[in-house]
Amino acid sequence: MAFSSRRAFLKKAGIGTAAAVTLSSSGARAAGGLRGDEEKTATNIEDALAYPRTEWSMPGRYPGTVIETYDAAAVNDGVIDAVRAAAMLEKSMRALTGIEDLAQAWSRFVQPGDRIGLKVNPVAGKLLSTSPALVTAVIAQLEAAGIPRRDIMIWDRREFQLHEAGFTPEAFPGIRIRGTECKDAEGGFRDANGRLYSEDRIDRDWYYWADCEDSYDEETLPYMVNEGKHSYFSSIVTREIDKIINLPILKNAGSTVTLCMKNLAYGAVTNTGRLHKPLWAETCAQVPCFPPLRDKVVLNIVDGLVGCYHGGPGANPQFILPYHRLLVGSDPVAVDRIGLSIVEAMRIEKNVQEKPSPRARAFLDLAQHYQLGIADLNRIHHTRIDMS
Amino acid sequence: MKLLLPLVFLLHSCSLFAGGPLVTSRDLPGWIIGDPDFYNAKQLYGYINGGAELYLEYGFRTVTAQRCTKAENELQVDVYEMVSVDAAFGMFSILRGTCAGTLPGARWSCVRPEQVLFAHDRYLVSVVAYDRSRETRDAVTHVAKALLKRAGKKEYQPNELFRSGPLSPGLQSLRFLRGPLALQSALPEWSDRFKGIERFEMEYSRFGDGAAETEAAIIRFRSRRDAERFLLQSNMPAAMKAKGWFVAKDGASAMVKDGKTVYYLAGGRAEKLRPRIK
Repeated sequence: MAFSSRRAFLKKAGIGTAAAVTLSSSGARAAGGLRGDEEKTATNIEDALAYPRTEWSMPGRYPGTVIETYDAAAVNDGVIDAVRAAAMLEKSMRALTGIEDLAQAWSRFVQPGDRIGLKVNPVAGKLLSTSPALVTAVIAQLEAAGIPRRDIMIWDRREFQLHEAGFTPEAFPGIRIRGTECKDAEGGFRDANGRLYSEDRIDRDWYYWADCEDSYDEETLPYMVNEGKHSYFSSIVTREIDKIINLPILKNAGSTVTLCMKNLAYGAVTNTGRLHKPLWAETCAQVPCFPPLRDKVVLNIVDGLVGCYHGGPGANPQFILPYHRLLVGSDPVAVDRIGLSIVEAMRIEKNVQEKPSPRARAFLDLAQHYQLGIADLNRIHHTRIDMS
Repeated sequence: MKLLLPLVFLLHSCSLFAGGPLVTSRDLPGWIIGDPDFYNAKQLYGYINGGAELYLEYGFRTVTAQRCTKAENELQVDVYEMVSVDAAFGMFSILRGTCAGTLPGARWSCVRPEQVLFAHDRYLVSVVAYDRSRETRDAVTHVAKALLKRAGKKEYQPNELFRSGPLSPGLQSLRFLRGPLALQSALPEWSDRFKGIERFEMEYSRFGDGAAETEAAIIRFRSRRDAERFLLQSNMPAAMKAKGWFVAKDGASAMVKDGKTVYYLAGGRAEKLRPRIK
């Protein structure tokens, strides 16, 4: 899935690299209610939208389709049953594709020769990260579909967080474990010349520009890589992998969720600290509009074996519980919409909130506006499978 | 020298929350006490990523994180130093959840098998067991008690109405919310009422069951204009000029004091409570 460099495309398309535009009025309406009547911060979203779509562009092979697989015995006393988790994944893949042969079902998304990136979410440590058990099952099924281990990478922004969450070379022999932000063996972020190692893992040809910025101190910069108004894409997504299988964990962020879209948007670019407050929803919807994500994410598997309903995105154990389920689909927006309903229902059941909050889905409405998927519940084909 | 020794001891004790080690080997004999990591407000994104915003909105100074291990046993200690007692309690009130008990000596604490969480003075302290062994869970409680002794003396004092007045049935579920993110996190159904209002502080509680369920809030705005906006967006604009309580058609009621503080009551017991709040 090669594409020409961003610079080459923009030159051909006559789009200025500094083309800073405000949200279109319809986009602003889609995000309506999120930030009141404030003027929206300008971004380079129009650059992203100018790229022609491909056969792999979001929402992928099965727009608006979500498979929810549930098994009440998937988690016992806080421990994930790896065999049951693998069976749930198998069932989900067959249901999503309508293909009984598992290897053929996977081949709807990946083929031998593809370099596959498994985008996990390890930011909340051991207690609330994508489970190694589920990732092990994904890898086994990929191998059965003809993908060699050497072509599989587990990745995220922070390499050391991957290790802390259990994604180590020892646990996943033959699989590359890689993060944009990385340290050397001594725990340092910089080489002998003071240069961040991470700078070699970003692609300055691809960036999300937004008219807001923050400054970081020496301690924080290694986690952000750069300051200014540009958030550069990781070269992991632009150069090192051809297809992405997105593996977020089912958890809340305030009254909304941090699932497929957030896992991609905030996990694939640098300098995200500046984006949280003024542009959270826009970032979640706009960063995945850029081809390195839009045209590479072929499958989304939300790890809802264990998740949380409050206190997220960090790990607050009082709100962590087994949801006993997986959500699977090629359409990240539809998957997120179903995930949001599940988390909202739990928040209501646990008296954290009284009713669903329209603002919580603003980023999904915006993503639908950008044609990344379907956010409208009435248009989502949601299949529930109970394997208990 | 006689004077110096107590001074050294005092400095050592104080250093716990001023950059020194959080948990000492004396607190957990036989455990390996990890070096503490410190994160200030600028660095918080590096530690908890998107979770940082809420702490920053309340007013955050620093967090000290420490991992303690003993063979397969593991626990995590996080001490958040907030800007005020109010801010520490505010975060606690959002994160409290359902508790199995409290820590002796800490009014605002929550004990569960896997975690102890408490707010004391300017500190929000979380001690989490990373495994399910009895030894780690006992260690969690032990560490929490040790930290509590060194966490200062002040406790959050709610408004008198909640503390010992007619709203005291809501004390156990009291939340202190400061700013839009806290509202989004803990009371999203009220977000529209606060649209366009960035700075406010609210003590809120929902208590009672069934028909007796009652909502009570005391909201302090920065300006009269914000109070007016809140009442307008709550469909009670007339409350601004009312003398005493204004009762809307749906039974919700509001009373304004000093032009910037709004008292709110709704639900089953509102009618009986209103005369007792003047």
